Amino acid sequence: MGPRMRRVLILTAAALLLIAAANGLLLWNVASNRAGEPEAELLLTERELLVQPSWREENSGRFLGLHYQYVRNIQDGAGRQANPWLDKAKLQTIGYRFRKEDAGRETKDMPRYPRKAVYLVLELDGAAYQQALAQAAAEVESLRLAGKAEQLQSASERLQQARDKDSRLFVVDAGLDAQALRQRYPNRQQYAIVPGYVRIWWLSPWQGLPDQEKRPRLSSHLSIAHDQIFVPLEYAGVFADIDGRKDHGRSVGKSPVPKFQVRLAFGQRLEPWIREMRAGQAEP
Amino acid sequence: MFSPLSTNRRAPSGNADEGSPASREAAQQAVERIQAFRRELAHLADREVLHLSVEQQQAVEAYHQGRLEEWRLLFDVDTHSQGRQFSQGMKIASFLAALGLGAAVFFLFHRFWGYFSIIWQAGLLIAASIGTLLAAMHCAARERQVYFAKLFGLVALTCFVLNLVLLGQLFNVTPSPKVLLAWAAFAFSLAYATEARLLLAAAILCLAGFLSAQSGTWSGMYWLSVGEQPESYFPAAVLLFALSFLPHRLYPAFPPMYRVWALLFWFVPVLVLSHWGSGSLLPLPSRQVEWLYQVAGFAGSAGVITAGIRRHWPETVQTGLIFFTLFLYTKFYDWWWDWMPKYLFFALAGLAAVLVLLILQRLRGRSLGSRGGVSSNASVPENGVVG
Repeated sequence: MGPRMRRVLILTAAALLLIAAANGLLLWNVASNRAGEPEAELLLTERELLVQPSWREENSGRFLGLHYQYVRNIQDGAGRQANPWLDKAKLQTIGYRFRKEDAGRETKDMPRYPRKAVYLVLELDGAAYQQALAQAAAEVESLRLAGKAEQLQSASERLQQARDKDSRLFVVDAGLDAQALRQRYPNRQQYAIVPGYVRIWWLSPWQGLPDQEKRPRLSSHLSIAHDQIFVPLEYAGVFADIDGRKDHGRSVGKSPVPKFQVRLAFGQRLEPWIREMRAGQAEP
Repeated sequence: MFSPLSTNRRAPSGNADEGSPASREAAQQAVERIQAFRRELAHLADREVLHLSVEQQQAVEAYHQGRLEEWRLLFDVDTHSQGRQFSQGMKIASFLAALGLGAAVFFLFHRFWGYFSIIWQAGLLIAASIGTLLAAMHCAARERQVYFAKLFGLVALTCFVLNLVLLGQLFNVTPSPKVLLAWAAFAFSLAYATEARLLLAAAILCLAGFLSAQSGTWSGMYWLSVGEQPESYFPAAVLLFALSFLPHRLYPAFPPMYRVWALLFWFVPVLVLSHWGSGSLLPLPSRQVEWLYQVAGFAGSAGVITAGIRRHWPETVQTGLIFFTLFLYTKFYDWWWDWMPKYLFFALAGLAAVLVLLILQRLRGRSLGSRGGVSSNASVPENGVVG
């Protein structure tokens, strides 16, 4: 056996071992994720899971995208602020550092912060959703009292959308310790802890404020690390029923979205999988 | 004067200890040296500068023919220009075939995988990785010019990447940078088996991606934000440069690849940070950071050029020159673009290049002088012996 053949054989053996190890480790992690009782199990509907239209002609894979919302507070003259609970104190617990000497700087001179890996808490049909409904209803009521008929029509449609179509899943908390978050949110049928990331940046101050109060304001964005859920072959029939339409997104005033329910489990590694999927509306 | 040489042919041995090339690339370079020698000998004879005796000509010719035949059998080298042109064409065809087949495999899986159960999907993905790997290695062991080995190697890498990506999608696995390490290791094994520089480049990119993402996560950064912290590429640059010093007797084309990629992963972040100080991890004001990186860029590229000249690393010299020019021209832009008339701006940029040309010319002359090279006006000795 020549030296070249020997070299090729050694490299082949190493590459085969690598294939076996990489796949073995991946499947082991999947098995350990799905072992025992799920860490959380949520009953979601077409409101929280959207059919993904990615290059449908060439991809026979079936995916549902997790659709969630952010808590928003209405602030006078400044629109809606997303994630009001994600203030400086909370960001510091996640690992961000804010220096005192940055306080008096212009927005363009403020430091940049990289995205940070965190665990996010998703709440299903809880206080955040009720708050969003209450805000939409309050907006309708104030417009009705003010007699603004045109704006009242839009606001009423938004309220109806929030009640019947919008996702009931909200991001309500974030942290670096999944165990600590689970202790704070023990209901596993209502709260799921998932890996995600947070990004923060500085925005120019609101122009409506007095000069002495004009300071750069912090804005944030939260996102789940992996929000695409694969639909196994055994649910292909249900998926085909709900995927029969050309417009895959949700819409207001157009043809109704087919109803379906998914029992989505989250395992020990906080990775989700579909335990059950059926067409039709959820029972009241 | 040349002494008569033995006309005995050396039996093909492929043993590098006897002075034979250790790889096909080294053998091809040796063939080109012989051909250059023949052309120069003919030219000297034409000019009445040097004539070998009939015995010497026969001895040299027999020796060269023996070596050429030996290397042709061992390495399938191209001994004439037509063969080299065909080989170039075969390289391009092999690359295009690999691209096409790799894309075909990618789209084939995506087109049909939804019709299989999870067990079949996982099995097909793993089988594709193994099958194409074995095909690549079989060709690497059999071929001397390894065109099909490189082709199957690229397809095998595509299959392995698909293997882990699609399995991850099937089971909704959270993305992790560790997958880059697996891909890097696989690509390295294929590169060293098939002597493919493209596979080595893929391995280097995956390794650098892993190191950068991993070093970013140590500071709590989300790993996919690796592009937001240019300094996270520095560890990869250092490692790749160190790898170029490992012995690569059988792979003479690989150390230059390591060096070039190391310099890219070093100087591109330096160039970016020299204009974007707020992207740095250093606890300094942006302007200071930009100034520091500008100085580091100029000094570093000049140092790289010097080191490349001393070590006879042409690719290092060229890369250093490119970045030195980039640093210089971006400084010119910062200083002058807004207020200087454009004709004057480009004239100054051109004059700066002329200055660099004069400096390099002087350095070249000094280098030739220190080696005792022949200057253009030296007289040729009458006995035909030079130097």
